[in-house]
Amino acid sequence: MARFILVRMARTALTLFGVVLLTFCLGRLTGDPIAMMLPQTATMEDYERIRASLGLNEPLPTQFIIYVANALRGDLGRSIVFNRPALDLVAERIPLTLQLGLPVLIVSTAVGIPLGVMTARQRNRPFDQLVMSLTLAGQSLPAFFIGILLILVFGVYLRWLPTFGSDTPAHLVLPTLTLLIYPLAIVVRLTRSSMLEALTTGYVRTAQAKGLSEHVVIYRHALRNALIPVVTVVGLQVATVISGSAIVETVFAWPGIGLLAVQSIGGRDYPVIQTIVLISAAAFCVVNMLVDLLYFVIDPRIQSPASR
Amino acid sequence: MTETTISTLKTLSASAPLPLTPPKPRRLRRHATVIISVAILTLLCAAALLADVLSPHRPETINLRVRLTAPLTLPEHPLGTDATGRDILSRILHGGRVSLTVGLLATAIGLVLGTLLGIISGYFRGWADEIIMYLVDVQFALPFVLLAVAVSLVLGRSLAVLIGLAALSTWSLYARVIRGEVLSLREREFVIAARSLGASDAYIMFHHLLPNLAGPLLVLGTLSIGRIILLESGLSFLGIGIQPPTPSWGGMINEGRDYLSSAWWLSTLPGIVLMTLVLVIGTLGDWLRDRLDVKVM
Repeated sequence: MARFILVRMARTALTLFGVVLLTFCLGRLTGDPIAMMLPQTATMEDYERIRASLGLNEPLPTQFIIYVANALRGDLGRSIVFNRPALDLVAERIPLTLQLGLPVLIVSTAVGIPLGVMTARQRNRPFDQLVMSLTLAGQSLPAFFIGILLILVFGVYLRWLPTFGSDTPAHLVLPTLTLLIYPLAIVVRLTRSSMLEALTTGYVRTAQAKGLSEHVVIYRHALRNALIPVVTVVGLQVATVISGSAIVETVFAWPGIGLLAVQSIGGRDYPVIQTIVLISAAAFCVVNMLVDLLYFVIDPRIQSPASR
Repeated sequence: MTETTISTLKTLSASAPLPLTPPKPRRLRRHATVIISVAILTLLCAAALLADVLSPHRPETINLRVRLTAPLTLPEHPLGTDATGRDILSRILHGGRVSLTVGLLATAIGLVLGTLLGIISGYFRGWADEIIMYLVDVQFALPFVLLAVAVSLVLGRSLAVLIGLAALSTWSLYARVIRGEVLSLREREFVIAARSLGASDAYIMFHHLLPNLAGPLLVLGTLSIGRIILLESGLSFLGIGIQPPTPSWGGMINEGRDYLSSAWWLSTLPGIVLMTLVLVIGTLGDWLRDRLDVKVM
């Protein structure tokens, strides 16, 4: 167990290292950061001075080591546009992104799993077919188009809800609904297929043969085992929630991480983009690791990568 | 990621057929859905292929005298015009060409790359496996849209960059699924027999393993075309896809956002076509998956 955790943590660290290396290289390729910072009247001496002060005259591997060392101390560079630490800038936006993401996470799980169980129990009956068609449509709709349709109906025609900004709780409704559709569809479909598989297993038939009530068989025996793949997907959703949605936040002018990313791209504010990429990747890796560890707790039969 | 996540990625299928209860009575209805889907897909592909012939106007032609015409008001602009008087029908037809080109080419490139790496990874195991799966992990951890944006800042906006990025977004999923399939295939009797007869590794990989991967590849490929078309439209929506004035559905939806209250058709019409295309491809992918009994995401 301890060995499994250690190996898993080492792998996560290694993956993160790869991500950092990649973003560092991309950052060096996006153009000369000094040329963007200097006024047009600057001389060659100014250029060299800033170059030296930023450590950009060091060889690339040295620069990378400095970058990693700074990153470990929480210094991910300064925003070119705002002239503030990039990490502060991103951290400020996290609560706003979570405001959208947490309701999505809670509703997609709390509604998606029961709905998945219900469709599995009514397999091929009209209710199942209706839900399956709706979820297929939900998976096929691009988020920005859902957002635009919602704006058109509830904002433009009915005038019930505000369509952009983040001033009142009412502003939350449309972006949350937009973000909700895809994860909800995924959770329903996944729970359904996983339940259908669990219902054919020997232990479920045994439970039925023992004369246990249908409720107990479904929820105690089948669902517990069927939930394992669902846990992974919900885990991935947690990571997505933290990194925010650039597209949906743009549609609704919601000032979270996603919108910051899009604006930073417009302003070529590479340190900020880099920070967002790193935080998203770190969230993804850590959540994934936790999910894997959780599995090991739920079901020790699952092979650990150490014994692979 | 580990074996556990791989196995769950593989169980992400929507409806695995039950071995005990063959769904006989639903066959007919399912077939009808599939036939309709194929018909719509053929129609959309033909429309995109024949865009030059079918379009009443050039998609880039500006005509300010007929700007923001509603659909079905002028016979020469059946689906109306946008803010600079460009014909919506012509733009939708040409935009479809971009979506399908990106979807098909990116899927093909990603499929070849992912299959090759997946087979190598699963067949040889060892350090090759470690390195390839490490790259897969890194790829999965990166937020793709932001990465795509950063890359397009470096390389500029073009169709080739877009296809390359979309291909890059899919290879890791293929590699992971194919690796899993190969891991179980390589222990099967026919592979052991071939090896004991002295077949080379390359021969086994391409003559024994590859044909057995046809099912998963077909399903993965179909589902991924739809996903890539969505991705392309999303990138075009953010303004990093196809360079205007070349029309793309995502770009058209984005341009229409400023006119939502006055001209509903600008965003909704390309959106409906986009949704239909992805829905039809998804339906076919689901059907293939159930028919071939393949478990992929």
